[in-house]
Amino acid sequence: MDDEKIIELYYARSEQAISESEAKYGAYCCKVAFNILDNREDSEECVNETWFRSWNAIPPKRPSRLAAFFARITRNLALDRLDGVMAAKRGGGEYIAALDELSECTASNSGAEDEFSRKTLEEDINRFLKTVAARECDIFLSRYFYLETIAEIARRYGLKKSNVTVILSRVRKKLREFLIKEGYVV
Amino acid sequence: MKPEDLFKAIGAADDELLERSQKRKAPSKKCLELGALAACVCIVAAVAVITVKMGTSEYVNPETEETAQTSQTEQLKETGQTLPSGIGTTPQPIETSTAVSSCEASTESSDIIDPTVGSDTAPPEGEISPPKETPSPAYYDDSFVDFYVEDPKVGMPMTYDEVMNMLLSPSPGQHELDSFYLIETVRLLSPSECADVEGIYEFYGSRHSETTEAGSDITPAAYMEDDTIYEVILKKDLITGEETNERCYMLVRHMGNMDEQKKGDPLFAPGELFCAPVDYKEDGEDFRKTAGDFMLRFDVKMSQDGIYTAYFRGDEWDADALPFGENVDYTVITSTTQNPAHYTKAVTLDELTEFLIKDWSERR
Repeated sequence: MDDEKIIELYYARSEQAISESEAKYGAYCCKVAFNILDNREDSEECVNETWFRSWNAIPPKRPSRLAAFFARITRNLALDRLDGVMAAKRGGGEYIAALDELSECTASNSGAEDEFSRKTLEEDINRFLKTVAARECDIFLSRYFYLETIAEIARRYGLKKSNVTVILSRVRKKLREFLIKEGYVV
Repeated sequence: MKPEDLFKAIGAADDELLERSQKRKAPSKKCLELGALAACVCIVAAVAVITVKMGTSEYVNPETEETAQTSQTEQLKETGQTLPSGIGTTPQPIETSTAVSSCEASTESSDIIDPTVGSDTAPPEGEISPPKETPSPAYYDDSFVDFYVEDPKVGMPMTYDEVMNMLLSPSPGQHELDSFYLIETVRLLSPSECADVEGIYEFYGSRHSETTEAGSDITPAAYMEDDTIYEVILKKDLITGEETNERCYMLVRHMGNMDEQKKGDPLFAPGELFCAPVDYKEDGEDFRKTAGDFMLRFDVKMSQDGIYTAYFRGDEWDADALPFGENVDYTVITSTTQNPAHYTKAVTLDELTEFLIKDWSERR
């Protein structure tokens, strides 16, 4: 079923919307959650919660890209869940590795959260991503939004793993320079 | 700002960008087949030219021929492979170098061929002579062409500085660099043997637990993607000069998985030498691994003038990025798989060692 029809089902408050979403995007969302949580049960619960959240969000929302809409909800739910999971010292998957990599861009952990609004940072990151070459941006998001492994990205893009590593390293470097320029990192 | 803040902010990336990043698919089989076909045509043409130039001066060593053929068959049997058509019917000599205590040895044969010029004459003084190898049979399966869709020759070359930064300042979770070793291959482990090496599944496992839990039919070879495990002897720490002779399992990064390497990036045959940076072994692991992917890995061979020379496989990195050695253009058979490697850089092992000792001590 195409996305437009699925959205119409949400608007019509038909429960078929959830089953169709599950059928089309269940595995995809499960992968997004699993990359963060590294646990099948937790991932499945996240995905179920995704349909519930979507049910409440549509309407009034009318997502133009359903896959990205579901992925974002799943990712946020998985990150919330990860707080509890981390406390129990399990899971983490690619998330920990991604944080290690991104720490290159942030310089320090000093309480900078008070110095900027999250919303502005999000907008600036989006602005940055649009300045990066399409392929670099795609690889960056595959890694740091979807938390795909280097191997998965390499396979999908037809690159060597070392090439992917280098591309990511170069984009992180550019991001760090951008964040310094914008005053986020000193 | 914490990395977590950045990670969350990336979560607000535009839908359009997110969708695009997931739409990218690996190059289609059809494209790869066409690329491989074109490569085959070129290679066949090149081999034909070389053969005409060489006349009857082909180098044949019946003793090594038999050993190599047996070894090849055993390796393929062990890994469940079959010999491609045309392979195995015309055995090629393969250099089975034994231990070297010194990096120099005397020239032992005059019937050596330079595949690039079809001549056995020594090169002009001051230039590195080609390795003692024989020309390629008319076989080449460019199965790793998909790794080079961006640039058929070098992909995305790293600079030497980038490699060294990666080696000497490992990211959290990465193994720490031990030293630069001269390594002799003992044998290639079969996929099932690889799976039994202590620590291997832990090394790869967490990232692939979903696949393994599902009990899929992914073989350990595919599972490990572009890594291959050999049993090797670490003969010498080239930085300290210590004769180590440590026998161990060694994870070596080639291009493509083990099956692809049999056709594309040549594997090392038993007895072959190579040198590479090597990481320390971690707790709970019964293997060591070469560091920096394949970017500082060199095939070590005795050249025509009897000097041990490190040759760089040109398809793996931009030879110009290496701040040492001289650019060369040799295509040789390096392993039991009988597919050619293309060398674009050569440096004597002594010169390479001297350079690294100086460079690493400054960087460290």
